[in-house]
Amino acid sequence: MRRAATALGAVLLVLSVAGPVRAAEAFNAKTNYILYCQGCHGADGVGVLTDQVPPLANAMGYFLHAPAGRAYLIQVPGAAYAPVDDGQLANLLNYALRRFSAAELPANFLPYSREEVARERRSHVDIVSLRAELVAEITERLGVRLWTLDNPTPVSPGARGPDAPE
Amino acid sequence: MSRLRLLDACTDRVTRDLARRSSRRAFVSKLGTWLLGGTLAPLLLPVARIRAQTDSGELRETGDPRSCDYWRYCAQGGPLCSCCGGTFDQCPPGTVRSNMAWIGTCQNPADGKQYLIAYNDCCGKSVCQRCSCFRFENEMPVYRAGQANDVHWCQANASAAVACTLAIVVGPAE
Repeated sequence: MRRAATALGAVLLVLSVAGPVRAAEAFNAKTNYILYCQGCHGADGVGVLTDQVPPLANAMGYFLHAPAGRAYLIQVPGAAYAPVDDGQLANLLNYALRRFSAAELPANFLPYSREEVARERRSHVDIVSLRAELVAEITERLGVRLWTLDNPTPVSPGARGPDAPE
Repeated sequence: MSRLRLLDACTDRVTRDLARRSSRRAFVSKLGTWLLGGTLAPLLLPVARIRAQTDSGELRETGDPRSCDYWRYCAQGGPLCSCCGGTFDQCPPGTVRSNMAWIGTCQNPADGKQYLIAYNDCCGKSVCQRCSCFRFENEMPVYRAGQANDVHWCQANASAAVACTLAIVVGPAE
């Protein structure tokens, strides 16, 4: 009995100490971008074009011109698996779109909502194939070639980055 | 009148006692030490040296940046660049800052606030053998690579050799 009480006490102690450390803190969208995106996409969203990190800057907004592109931005692994809740992810996407790609947003842009993120986030899609289809569709619709692994030199108005054309 | 006499007697006794116990030379010596110490202390104390290294002059810091206990290293995973010819936010000569990094948070004991810390690696030389430092506050296993301190972040640089790891304050975590 005493051993059980000790074990229970130890578990409660661990939970009381470990709980707050792992609890998701309610940071704002800017801080969540820095914590969960900036390490690879960079402070100015240019990515690392030569090493599998696509640019957000002058690129992200184009995806909203294709019907499946809106859900794609929620489902792309960096977004879908970020340790933030659905409402925080909606705010994070809206923040990144307006900060890095305002010029490329469609005129009728509607910000993401918590409900939309909750609906699309848990879908299992072949994200690599979906991206390839979207890039082809955007090229056809808008005449813009976005970053791909095979061709890490995007051609879009104002594209920046170490290997982007002037 | 008697009160004045009493005060006079007391003052006389105190000054005579003081004169018996100390010399003028000792007083001058102590004054000199105090003045010199007061002038040099800010240069010698670790606090002032840290502030001299800080990127943003407003950040208040305490501690020794060459020690693993230093607050910025709460999730450090590699040798401290401060011990390897650099500082906590500057790479040693002959190395370059990694293009990618992971970013966590640490609490600054000087003001109790959480700050965003970028753990960039310095790339281009073999690993520095001094001040190896591993701490795990809010750090995750590699299945969450963006919050893991044992990923080598030089993978997107021309040279993937990791010399040491920085701890750069990006800003307050709000």
